Amino acid sequence: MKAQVRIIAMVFLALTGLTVSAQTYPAGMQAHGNNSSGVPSADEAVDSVTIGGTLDYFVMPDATINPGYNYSVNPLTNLTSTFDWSGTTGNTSLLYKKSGPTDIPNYVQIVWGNIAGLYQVSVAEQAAAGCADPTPTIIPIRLIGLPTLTYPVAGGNQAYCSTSADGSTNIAVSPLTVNFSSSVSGNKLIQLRYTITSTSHGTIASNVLATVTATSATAGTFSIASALNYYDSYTITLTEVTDRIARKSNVTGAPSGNLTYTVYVNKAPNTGIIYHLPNQ
Amino acid sequence: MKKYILFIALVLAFVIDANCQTYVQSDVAGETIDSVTVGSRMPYKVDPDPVIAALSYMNPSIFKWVFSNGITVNKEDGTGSTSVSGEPGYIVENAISSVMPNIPGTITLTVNEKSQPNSGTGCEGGDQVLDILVLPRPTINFSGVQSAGSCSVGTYNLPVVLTGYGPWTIEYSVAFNGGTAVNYTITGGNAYSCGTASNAAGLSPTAAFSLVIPAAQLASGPGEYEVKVLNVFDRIALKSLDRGLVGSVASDLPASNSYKLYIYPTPTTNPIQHVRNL
Repeated sequence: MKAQVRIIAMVFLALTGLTVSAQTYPAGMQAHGNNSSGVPSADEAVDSVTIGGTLDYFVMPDATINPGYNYSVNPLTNLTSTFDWSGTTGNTSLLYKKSGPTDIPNYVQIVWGNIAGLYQVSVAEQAAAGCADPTPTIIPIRLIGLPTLTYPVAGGNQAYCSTSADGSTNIAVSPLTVNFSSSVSGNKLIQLRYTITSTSHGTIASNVLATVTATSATAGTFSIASALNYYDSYTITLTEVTDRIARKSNVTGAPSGNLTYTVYVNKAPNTGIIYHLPNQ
Repeated sequence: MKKYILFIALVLAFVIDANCQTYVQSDVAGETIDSVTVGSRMPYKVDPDPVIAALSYMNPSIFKWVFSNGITVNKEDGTGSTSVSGEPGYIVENAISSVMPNIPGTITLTVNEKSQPNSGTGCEGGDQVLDILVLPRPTINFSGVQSAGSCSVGTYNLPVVLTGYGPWTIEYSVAFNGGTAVNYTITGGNAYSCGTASNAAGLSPTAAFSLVIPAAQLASGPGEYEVKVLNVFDRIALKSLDRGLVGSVASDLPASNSYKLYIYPTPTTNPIQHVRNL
């Protein structure tokens, strides 16, 4: 029987005289081509990965050849087939995931290369009896570049005035504009991290995560999470950028260009009493 | 025996600045309204916020001075103020002077301090406002009977009628027998002062004072001494940084600005003559 290979599929087989337990798969995965609801979607036709990303791939073994296989019970029990992943391209490494010290042949971790382009994951199941699937299952992989991020101009700044006591200025900074680029199609879901340092009060916040609200395909705004409470000069430095595919690919991008933005919180002066020459 | 000199520093809300002006804060009782004379040049100042001044990342603050009637703001010395590039309406100076209007009335002076951080935009403080009462110049008139005379040289109390706010300072001249007048002035240190700060005649004339001519000024010999008033200043007018701006005009002075005093010659009785005995 030709080996049937499903990548990341949940298959229920009812054979005459045989009942096969449900074939579970690693959490967080879904069949290639399906959306999060398990419905085939054109958006999932090509697996998008950011260059340098590291992702896991799992193939459900043929249930006829490997009856009783249940990943969640034991990823190695009732697994007699082997799997040939050698047709995979664009990767820098491909390693088996392990169960204890033992490789799981149908479950691999691929580290993708650094050159954008169209590649593939290829896997062919070979039965223990020796029959190999002559037609590997292939999914297309599009490697895309890391997103970029910068402030629009060098030396950008805002200034705020307060009359409150130092330590209680409670300044809510207006959303900051950033420019970005991303090869992700559709909703890019750009996120960034920033660090706030100050002249006189040290580091205020370190690598805080913020979501960019896109105002165009290449620009958006983000907000500072906390109010600024001291009279000081604050530097908001961009430290990291991701889009949804980069996060999926477990890679982060480094902002470049204009990386700092300055916010001044100044105390408003108390204008003094007017002096004049005495009347008396 | 050692003498111990005890200095008592009386701390009042008075400030003597580098230009030797004695300022008073406008929140002191009796000083909440600044009284000035028409046409006078008056100084004003504020102290920069010391908290702002102490900050290492701040440059000196700037100030916006605005008179309600739009009169020009100059430096305390009367020269042009220093504008600040990029800050319309603001000047560098925290002490100013301006020439008051020539019409009595009430105006206001508003000042605002703005900080100047080394980087970024500064902050405006709140406004401080001072009411300014512009008063007319004081006036003086002669009263009493003219052409008074005396047989001997002595101090003469020339009755006058004054308006304004005491004390008054009167500059005058005395001319003997139509000759060159001798001026007695503030600059010469011999003008005449009368009244006290409690004498607030305002626009209502007070006849309670005399222009006292010292005997020494009537000692040129028997003859006619003509007294003319040159200027009358009250304490408000003397606040002016430029006294020349508040000098009297003709309408401030006696309509007939001439008061004549006579020192009559005292005759020397000759010996009695008679028919000889022999």
